[in-house]
Amino acid sequence: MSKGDGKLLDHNYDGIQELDNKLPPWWLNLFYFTIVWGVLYLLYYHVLGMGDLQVAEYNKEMNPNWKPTTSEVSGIPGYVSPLAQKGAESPEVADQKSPEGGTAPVVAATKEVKEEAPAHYEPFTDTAALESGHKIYVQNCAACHGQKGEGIIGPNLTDKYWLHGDGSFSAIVKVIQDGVPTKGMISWKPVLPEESLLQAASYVYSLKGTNPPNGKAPQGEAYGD
Amino acid sequence: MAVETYYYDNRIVRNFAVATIVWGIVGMLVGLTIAIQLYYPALNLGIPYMTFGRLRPLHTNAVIFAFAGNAIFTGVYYSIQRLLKARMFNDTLSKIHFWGWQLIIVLAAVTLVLGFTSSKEYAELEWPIDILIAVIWVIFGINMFGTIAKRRERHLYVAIWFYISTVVTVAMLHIVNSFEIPVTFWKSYSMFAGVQDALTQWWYGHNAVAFFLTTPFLGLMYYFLPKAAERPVFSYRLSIVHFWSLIFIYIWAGPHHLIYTSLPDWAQSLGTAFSIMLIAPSWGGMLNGLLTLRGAWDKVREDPILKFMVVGVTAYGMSTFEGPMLSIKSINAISHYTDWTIAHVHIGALGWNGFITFGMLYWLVPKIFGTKLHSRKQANFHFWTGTLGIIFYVLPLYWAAFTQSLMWKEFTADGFLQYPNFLETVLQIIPMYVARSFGGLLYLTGVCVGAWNLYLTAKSGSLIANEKAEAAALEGPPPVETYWHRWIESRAGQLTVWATVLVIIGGAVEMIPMYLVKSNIPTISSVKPYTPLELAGRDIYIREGCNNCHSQMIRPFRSETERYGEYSKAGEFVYDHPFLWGSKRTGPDLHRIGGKYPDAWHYNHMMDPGKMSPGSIMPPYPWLLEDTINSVDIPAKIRAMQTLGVPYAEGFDQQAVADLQAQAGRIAANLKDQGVTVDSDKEIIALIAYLQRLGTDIKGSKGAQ
Repeated sequence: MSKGDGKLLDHNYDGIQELDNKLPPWWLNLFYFTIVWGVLYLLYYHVLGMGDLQVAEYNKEMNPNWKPTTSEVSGIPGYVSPLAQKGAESPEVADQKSPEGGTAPVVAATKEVKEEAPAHYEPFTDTAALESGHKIYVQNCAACHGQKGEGIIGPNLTDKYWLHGDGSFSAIVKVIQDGVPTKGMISWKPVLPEESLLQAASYVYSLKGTNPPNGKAPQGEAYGD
Repeated sequence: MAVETYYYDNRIVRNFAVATIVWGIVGMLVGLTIAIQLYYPALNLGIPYMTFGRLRPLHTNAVIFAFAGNAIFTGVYYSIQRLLKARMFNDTLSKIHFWGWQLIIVLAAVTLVLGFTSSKEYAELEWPIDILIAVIWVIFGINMFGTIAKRRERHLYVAIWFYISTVVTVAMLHIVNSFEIPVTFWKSYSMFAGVQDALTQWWYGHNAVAFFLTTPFLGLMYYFLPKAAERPVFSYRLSIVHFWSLIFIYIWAGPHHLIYTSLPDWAQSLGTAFSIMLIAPSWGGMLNGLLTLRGAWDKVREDPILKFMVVGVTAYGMSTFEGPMLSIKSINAISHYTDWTIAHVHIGALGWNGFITFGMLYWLVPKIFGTKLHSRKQANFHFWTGTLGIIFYVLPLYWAAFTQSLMWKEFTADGFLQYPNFLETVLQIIPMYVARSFGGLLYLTGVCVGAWNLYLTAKSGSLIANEKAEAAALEGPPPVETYWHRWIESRAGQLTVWATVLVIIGGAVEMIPMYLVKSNIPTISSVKPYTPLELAGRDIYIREGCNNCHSQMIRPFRSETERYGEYSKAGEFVYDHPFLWGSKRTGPDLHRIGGKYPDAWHYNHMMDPGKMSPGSIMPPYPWLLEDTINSVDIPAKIRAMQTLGVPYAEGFDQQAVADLQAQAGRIAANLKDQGVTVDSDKEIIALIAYLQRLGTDIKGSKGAQ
């Protein structure tokens, strides 16, 4: 026993005794403080309505000018689709379920309707850009198109046969940008910054004729020689 | 008053002690195995039963219910007899309790590796075992209350208050969280769906930590620490205040496992507020333990038993401070789904539960064998390898968690994710996983040395199966008391009733409105029940334990919606019996995986993840490509879902198999178009159907608007 201990109580449980020490004051104050904190916390968020709840917090993160009044845009209470907001495009451009409940993909109408003339792009040819494009390709594309572009699920990117477009650089960029949702290729425009996308496309463009081992059989039309 | 002679039952204590050590080593070995699988997936030897998804629940169940559970019973059976001055109520009940519990563990080990699981964390066991657990637990309760009834000590010591709250609350938690509809002997569906299921599960999960890993161990601490230190307990009043506040407040804190999820904000906030209020009651236990050692620190330096206890109690103080901090929104935003959670629980499990257990065993085994500890040197070795093991275990995981979380949230200057490829964030922390498994190995080494030391200790003595003791019987009614707590602690019935009332309140206030008030889960009209094939796929997902590594809960953060898609809504989960939100992202979230990749990608990915994502630590699942979908149980599954209120048309159970085959045919045809030939009755087809469905309901609703 130390100095300042309270008296020894006459409790004895199998030889265990108990002291009558007071609660340590700092401990008691800590307890009071946390209780007050807890009450204030609930008041702040749920009674006084001063703190943003999570959806409001999210909407502000997506759009600094967001005001609570705009939250009823969608039919789902408290949920505003980022698609409804300027400058915040959702990366999801994927298949919808067919009405029968199967997984047969349905063409996402908005993407396919506008068959405008593709914008014209020029490939990078400097080593640094191709190196960077290679890295991006390995991270994002190789899963379906193979480490060397030989094709696995996705088509062979090294031959002269193309399913979408004519194999020109601009056509490759367009396929990467828009994706081919019906075949499972997502639109990379919202995922990759334009610079990176063009670098990856340049790398793919540079693969033509490399003829890697285990190349997938040609698919689509032959273009060029 | 006549002095009565009676005998303490030490054999039952010995049995539980042996079980503690054996299951402890088994459970930790499984833990070490899955820790290594995280960087060397081939360690599963390509066997379904050895995959991470199945072994992880086995590890958690084994260390919680087999190791810590048997440790609790060892300590309770030893201490309660002496604190009450009575032999256990009934030797047969003691034996049924012991063998029943070991049977549950064996059944758990077998069924979990076979993939029979409810998927709810630390409650994975299927319904027949759930019933067995309830029965055995009630037998333990009867045995304990029977002993209390025939006690020769008027007042109940603080350890027993904690034991009583444990018995009552664990029964309540286990029974409510196991409300499930059996489909077959080894398959059931949770009666709750989505948000409600999540809240119920984490009310259970959090309070399993509270009333299985905290209150009983506080009881053990209150007996074995003053015994080993030979010092009086620091403060009787502190015991009273921290006991009642702890059991009352703990129950409310469950929702802190669901911060920034689809759980309504009000419930999340209650979880946060009560978690913060929990700091002082938890620290009350730590203080009463550490301050009991005042004036005995010279002894602590010498005695390995006290060393174990001091580090154990300190670990308790650390993790009960860390827990409330992790409940704060801004911290939880970083920590949740990362290895921070894993580090946090291991401070508690290895430090608090483990070290209190070993301290207790080193003290108690020599006593019941009437001998001395075989080797103090080996016990010290165990202490140091254990302590270093904990440090080597948790520090790398904290590092890993910060690194990965920051990588998940990092944006480029152009506003794109810096690390859009989830795998990159995993590969970054692989060295930390290697270091962590080294820490685990150290800890396990210490335990093995400890087991050997205890074995030689037991061998050097002989079991005093029945230890003689003498005390006077209690006579007459309980005395008039001047202090209220002296009154209640001499009336076990009153104490039990009030403890029960206090532990019911928090859960009732949170859960009943969640079940009954419709506005908590706004419905979304486009959300439809799963097709039979998707349901079959979902059951495969549950069987393989995919939820152990993949969440299905996109949090409302820009970094998550950019990576995964629209954040998850409560209304999307209304047909999810059980919910599958997960608690850790070793792989990416899957809530909006539907439609993201072609069917063939999933086929190839399940066959060999490394082929589609080089460097992936996900193991291959080739058997899904070979095994046939179980369509025999489909009608029963549909009927069970109908009972739970899932709106399948009447009589749909009879059309379900045809529906399943039709959808499977379409997927097989689709795969064929993509160059994969597979029969439409294979499990992979069902799993693809489920994965392609995930999160797509709400996309449909967007299109409709």
